[in-house]
Amino acid sequence: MENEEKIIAKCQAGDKEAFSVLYDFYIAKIYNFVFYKVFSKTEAEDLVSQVFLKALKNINKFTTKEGNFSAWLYRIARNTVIDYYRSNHDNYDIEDFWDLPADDNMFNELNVKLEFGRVKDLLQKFKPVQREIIIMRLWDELSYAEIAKVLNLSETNCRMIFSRAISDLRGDAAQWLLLLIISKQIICLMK
Amino acid sequence: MPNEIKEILQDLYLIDGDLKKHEKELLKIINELLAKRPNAKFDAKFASELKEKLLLEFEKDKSEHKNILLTNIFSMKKIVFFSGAVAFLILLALVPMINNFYHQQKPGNATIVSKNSGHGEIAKIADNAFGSLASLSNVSGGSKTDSLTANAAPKTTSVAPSIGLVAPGAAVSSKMMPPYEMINYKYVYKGEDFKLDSDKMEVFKRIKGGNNSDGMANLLSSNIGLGLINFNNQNQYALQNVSFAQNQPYGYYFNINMDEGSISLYQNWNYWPQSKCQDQACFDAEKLTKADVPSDEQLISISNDFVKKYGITLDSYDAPEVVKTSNIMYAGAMVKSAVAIAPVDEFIPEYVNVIYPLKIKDKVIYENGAGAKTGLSITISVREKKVSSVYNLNTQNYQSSDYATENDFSKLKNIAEKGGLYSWDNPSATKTVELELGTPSVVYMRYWQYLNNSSEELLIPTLVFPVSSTDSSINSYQTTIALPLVRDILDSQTNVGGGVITPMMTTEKAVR
Repeated sequence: MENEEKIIAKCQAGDKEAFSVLYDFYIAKIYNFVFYKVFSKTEAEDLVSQVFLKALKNINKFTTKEGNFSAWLYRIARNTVIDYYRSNHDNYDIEDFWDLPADDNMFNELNVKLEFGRVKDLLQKFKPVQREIIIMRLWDELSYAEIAKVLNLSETNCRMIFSRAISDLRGDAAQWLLLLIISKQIICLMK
Repeated sequence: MPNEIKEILQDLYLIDGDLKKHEKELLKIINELLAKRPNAKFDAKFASELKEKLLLEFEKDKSEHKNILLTNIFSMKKIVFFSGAVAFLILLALVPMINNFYHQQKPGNATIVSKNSGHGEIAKIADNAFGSLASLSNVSGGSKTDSLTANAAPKTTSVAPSIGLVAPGAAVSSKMMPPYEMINYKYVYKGEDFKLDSDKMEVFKRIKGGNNSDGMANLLSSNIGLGLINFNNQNQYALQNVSFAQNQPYGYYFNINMDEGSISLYQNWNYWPQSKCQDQACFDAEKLTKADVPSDEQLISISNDFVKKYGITLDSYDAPEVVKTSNIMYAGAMVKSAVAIAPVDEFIPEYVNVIYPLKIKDKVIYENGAGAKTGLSITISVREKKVSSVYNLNTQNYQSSDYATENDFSKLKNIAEKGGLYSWDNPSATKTVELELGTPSVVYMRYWQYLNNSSEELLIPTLVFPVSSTDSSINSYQTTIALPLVRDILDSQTNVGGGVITPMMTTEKAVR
């Protein structure tokens, strides 16, 4: 976002309009980021409300030393999701929510559950850090610099992890296609 | 080709120039990953409503110096900025409220009040006092889909075979994931004679936190206003949530939820060691090994010491157990379900849970859905060998009401032999496997009922049959079949028919 620093400074000085501009720019992005982790519209909306409320309460503490605003906001979102899983799935270790068993309680709608199952199958083969970077890079469309700040890794490392994951998949192209066929067959069976 | 994809490809070629030869394949993979992006169902109405609320909050914050939030105290770290006297007064006011939180909630029409095994109370009220429970299973657990997942023993599951479907002579990738084999299960009761004596059993409803409006009004008018704002005493304020932080090495955030009647605590991240790693080599060096995981005895000892230190009363709980459904088990299950085909890297979890199972009238309570024992959950950091969080520390006051229950064991056995309430046979299955049902036991299972925008926690008597197999080649099947004994629920759900079966990767036991 152009002039983001100026907008943040205005926001920190109490300019409501400036906050409104930041909100409009990030709301859909943060919503998607959270949704890809909880796969429930209701939960995503609840968590996104918390994320923006936390951001609003803490915006005065934000400085560019902590990286750009986008990375700061995504970090709040990521921590909020982790806290959500910690408090709602107390019997599981929530280091990586993709490793949770497919619990019906996670889904409000059947089609979301199916969607989650298919996507999960595809992404399950990656290591947690690879998975997170792939999602952030391809689905959330974050830059490597932003991903690096969110995950507290170096930019080069993020680039490397992402590229290796995709490159490994190429080695398994046959397996990849097979997975796609299976997932399509399962969908047909369900219909 | 979009610039984004070009850039991704360029990065790949920087790592390995040879990959350029496979651009077609890579494009296919990247496009497929992009196509699999789920529809996030972003709602513009939600966005605009949230914006309105936030802008109001923004205005409020400006005028309130942002130091305190009454309805949602996200960061009581700021408490250090208050004068000691104010903090002391707040705590003085909170103590009786928290005390009430444990003791004040007695049902108006209670006829008998008995002591729970813990410090809570059970108030006996009229029969069927919680209304019809027939719809309970459909809304339980916050899900609109079937929620009796612990009960739902699909007669069909799919299991990865140990040999891939590969043409003779063809090379088999060591990572190739084979198609799943569909299996139908036949359940045969092999247990002893069993008798259910009563045709009525108690259903329990947990009484959560209370309305602390009186105490809150006094607190607001006398202390929290700090002379900056006048909280009108005539308004009905209720304390919902209090959070505060322990700013010291290995400190915690404490959260007291007055509405829910629960206390939780978790790491104050600012005061716990964080990894400084910037590259993979460093991460690899820091990786935990099996030797880092404390023994079960050590984990329980760490947990017990913590409980003692913080004076957590364990009267309502059974002896602690280390939860085995952690990632370490999950990785094991993955290896088992794709034997010799998709070896999975060993993964040592950063955290392990110890659970103190909750009891009511000396019966252990299980979680509907997950099917595991429920209770006070203490998470231990494997790296630091310290408790990192505590959840499910709840008030234990209940109302109890009798409901008609099924005592015809042969009827229940028949349902169990059909695979439970939601079973169905898959016509495409290629194999039928016999599983044995053992002698059942009666437990309580926790359900959630959503009424009038709030959730009620109900404990339902449930008959649980253990399931076992003598066929060692089968490694994925439901390990219990649980049937709610309340007639309302049982009759409304029997013969509902099949659900959608998805491949099950887990071999975790539903009820331990």
